[in-house]
Amino acid sequence: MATIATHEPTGLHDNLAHTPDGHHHKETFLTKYVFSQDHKMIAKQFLITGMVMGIIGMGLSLLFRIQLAYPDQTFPFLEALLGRFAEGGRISPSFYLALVTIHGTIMVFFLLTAGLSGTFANLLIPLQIGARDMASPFMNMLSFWFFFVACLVMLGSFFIEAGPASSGWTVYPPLSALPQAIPGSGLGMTFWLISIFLFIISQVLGGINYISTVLNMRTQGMTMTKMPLTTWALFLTAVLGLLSFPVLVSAVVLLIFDRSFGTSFYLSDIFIGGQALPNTGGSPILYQHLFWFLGHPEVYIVIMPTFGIVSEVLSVNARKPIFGYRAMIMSMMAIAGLSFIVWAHHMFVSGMNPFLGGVFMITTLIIAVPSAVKAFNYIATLWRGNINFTPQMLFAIGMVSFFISGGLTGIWVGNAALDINLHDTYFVIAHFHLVMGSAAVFGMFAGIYHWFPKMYGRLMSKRSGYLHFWLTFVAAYLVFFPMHFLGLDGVPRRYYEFTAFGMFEEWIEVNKLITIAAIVGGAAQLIFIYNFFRSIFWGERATQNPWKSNTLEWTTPVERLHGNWPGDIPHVHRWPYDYSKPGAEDDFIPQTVPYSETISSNVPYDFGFHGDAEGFTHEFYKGNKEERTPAKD
Amino acid sequence: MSLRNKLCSLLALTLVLFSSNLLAVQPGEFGDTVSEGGGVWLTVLFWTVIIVLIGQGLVILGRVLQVYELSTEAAGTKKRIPWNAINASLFLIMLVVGLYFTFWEVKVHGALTLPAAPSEHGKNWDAMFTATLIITMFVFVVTHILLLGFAFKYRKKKGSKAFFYPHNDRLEIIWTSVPAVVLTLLVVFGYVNWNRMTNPAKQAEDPIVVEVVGRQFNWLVRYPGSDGELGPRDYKLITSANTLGVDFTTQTSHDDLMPTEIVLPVGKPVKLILGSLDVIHSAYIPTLRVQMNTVPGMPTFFYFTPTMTTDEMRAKTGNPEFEHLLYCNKICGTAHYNMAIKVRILSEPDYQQWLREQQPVYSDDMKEQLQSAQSGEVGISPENKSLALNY
Ligand code: HEM
Ligand SMILES: [Cu+2]
Ligand SMILES: [Cu+2]
Repeated sequence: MATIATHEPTGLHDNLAHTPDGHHHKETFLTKYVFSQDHKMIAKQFLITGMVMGIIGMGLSLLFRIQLAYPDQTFPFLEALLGRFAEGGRISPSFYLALVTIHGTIMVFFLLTAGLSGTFANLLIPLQIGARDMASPFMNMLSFWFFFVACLVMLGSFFIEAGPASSGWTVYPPLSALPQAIPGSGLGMTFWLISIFLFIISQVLGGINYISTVLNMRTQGMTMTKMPLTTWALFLTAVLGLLSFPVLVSAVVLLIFDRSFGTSFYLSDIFIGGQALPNTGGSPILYQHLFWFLGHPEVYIVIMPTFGIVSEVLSVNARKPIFGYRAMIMSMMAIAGLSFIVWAHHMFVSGMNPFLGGVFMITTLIIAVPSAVKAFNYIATLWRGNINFTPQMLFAIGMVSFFISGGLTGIWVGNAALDINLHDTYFVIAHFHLVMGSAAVFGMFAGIYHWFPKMYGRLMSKRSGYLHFWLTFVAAYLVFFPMHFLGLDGVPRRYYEFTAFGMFEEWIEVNKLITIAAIVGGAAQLIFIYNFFRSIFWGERATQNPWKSNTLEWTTPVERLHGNWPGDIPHVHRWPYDYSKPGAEDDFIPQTVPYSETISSNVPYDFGFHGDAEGFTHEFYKGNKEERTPAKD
Repeated sequence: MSLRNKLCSLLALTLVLFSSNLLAVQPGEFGDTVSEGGGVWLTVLFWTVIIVLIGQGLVILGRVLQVYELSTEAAGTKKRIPWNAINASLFLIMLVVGLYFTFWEVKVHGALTLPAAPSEHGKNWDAMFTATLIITMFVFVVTHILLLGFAFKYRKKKGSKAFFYPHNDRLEIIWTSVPAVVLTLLVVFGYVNWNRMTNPAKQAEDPIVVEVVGRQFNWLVRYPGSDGELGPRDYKLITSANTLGVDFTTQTSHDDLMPTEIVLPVGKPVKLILGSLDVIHSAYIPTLRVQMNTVPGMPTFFYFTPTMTTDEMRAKTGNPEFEHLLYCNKICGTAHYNMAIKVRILSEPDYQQWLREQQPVYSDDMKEQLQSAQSGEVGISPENKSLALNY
């Protein structure tokens, strides 16, 4: 029910970079839905593009799962679908590798980096810190369009004669550098590099924007230590991305040089296709260092936003403050910092100096400490809560479960000595699909269910959400848990079939189980898609604050104005987690409520006072002894 | 609604009509292209119809539940479906079933994993594996009991209120330092082992040296021969006869052996010198806990000592076909999955016997071929790169 009346801004806050000053009256379809500069619309663009990419990525994985489970059966529909890549109804070995490569690239970069950060940073940062829009809405729009073109280029590589890039999502040279090494390293790889290059531009544009918005555009009273953890997480994610993606640019540029201009950054002493190449002096290990210098922070770029989302969702739905707010911030900062000095744990057996392996093992296992703190704090948040099982709460709990499971195997692979026998096996696949493919995806689902009303003004169906969660939760464990055991039997990843030597044949039955679970899990996503799109148009209308939440985004009208708040931007007086505070009327106190209105529930801690409550005084408590020590139940 | 129902029954009808047809269609029965195309689309249609029907069923179920809720509400009983309790209970069920599933997995699929390592450092690996498994399993189980148990226990109930508990410094210090201590132990344990396994300064003197070189898509093996020294090699010298590009002008290369499998004596330290001719590969012998990437332009190394012969392993595992295989474990091209070589561990006398049977590569034959290659008659043609196994 958007009425123009509520649209009209009255007094405007002075920290605006962008005001709803009436130019949206002339808004056309093109400026509103396509080249939009409104952060909420851009968030939706990122979300839907990311979801489409996610569905495609999932489809690709189902294709190669079919190959793994039924290596000697033919599937005519595959040929109908894929043509020359699946002649006779069987996926060809080189196309299998193309599938795993593009699956990995899409999921890591397009869904879980751009789709996740792009959606929630755009949607939530301005809303939660009290800003009318991003620092630079124009750059924000560019960020989306670079991303969109990157998606098109990546998908376009399926139409290349020789097929898309097929050297794995990490595209290690020389395999990725030499077209004669694998068909996908021809034009397909060029497309991959162009796409990733565009993608990085998009990330940098977005990241600069997120960081400057958080640092400069917080509303009055919104100090850094009153920011919701979601914003903290998205902010730190942007910092990580901004510092690490440029290093990937250098890796990519040097690879482009090696491929197209005859340089030898990564190439040395190669005899391939009956020919000795002239390159000498390069090092393939250099590429790995550059790649993983991004690559490890990248995995935290993927999980960190969901830390924020899950903190918020758990707290709102348990009706309890997040446990250890400051510890949560500190652990995220520790993770962010440490994530820059652990990259070589992906290279323990790459041939680098073993001494380095030892050092990186130490740093790697240190990073598990703040990760553990986060898990414990989540559990403590549930303790003695009053848990309301909305779909987002289910997904948030599921995320914590997957994060624990996957984090624990991180301790295995982070141990250099153990990694000797685990590296590049299905154990690693299990590890990162639990933390990334499950935990991060569940965090993203939690965010979508939770903030759907802020995007579309309606609610998603809860019952579909329940079904979606339970099917996906069970399926994900059925898919990824058995993979640990394949890894412990030494089954290498990226194998087209396990039957070549007869050693891994016993795992084919397990592969069938995994594939069937994956298909069921995939089907469960149809429920989500249906629910999502149905709810956009026909969902139950949302109220302004459907989850009884404290954060600022729920003080904006349901109509989602350009500029966010019809009048002044609200001021902030307290931290965002005053849920179920003793002495308060409701079980939540929004951030906009000043302490002077909540005398009965204030506690000395609210004023940063740690000591003995008896000695505490504050202007609100002028001599009244009773009120000085409230909240003792 | 009614339109949808009609559509639905139409789909059901199509399904019935086609399904008898479809079920008869077996893979491989698609003889001519016409029926092939038809068969494909039938299959696609079949599955679309199934999915739509299931979806329709779910939608109807949802409607029924909604109607039920509305009617109970109207009747004033206020008895809505207790979704909160249902979800909470499902978490409890999930906890029990999940823990059972975990132990079932460990028991059933765990039994399919690698046998105890027949190598010196592999024993350390196994010990570390066990320690890490116990610690992480313990944490896994405890945290899940807490997580899912709390989810059940603290579900929203009538009149209940959450406990305002924003932080507890002491608790947080405890659960920061306990993992820190446990991880320190694991780090120390791991560091010592890693150092012992990989630090060249810590390895036994006078190991048996074997060079293993990966290329698309097989492994080439070279033993130094009686002089105990490998001849130098240069990738520019590679020809179809001299697959490794060994420099046969040097004396040390003349006795080099190039067998088609890796054979090692039991109980003797081994130093693998690893190399690659084209892209990165990885020499991976999971049964022996050996892995190291092979990198073009840079030799890499791995040291280990087998402690059991292949025959002993066969007896021990009860598998008469047991073999150690060296796989390629770094994506290296189309036939990456099909690139393994056998590793046989023999008793010392058998090994000596085997060694005696090997002929140096620098045979008269080779000499001739090299000469003709030099005079340009045999161009450098690619080696046979068929996907055949090399054992
Ligand atoms: C407890 C903290 C963690 C530790 C100690 C850890 C450690 C490791 C190590 C050592 C590897 C390399 C394994 C190998 O290739 O042999 C690895 C791989 C990986 N990890 Fe983690 N990890 C942790 C958490 C995470 C998280 C939170 C994510 C993502 C959300 C993640 C994503 C990945 C990915 C994607 C890979 C595989 C990359 C590839 O080879 O394709 N990890 N992890
Ligand atoms: Cu990493
Ligand atoms: Cu390979």
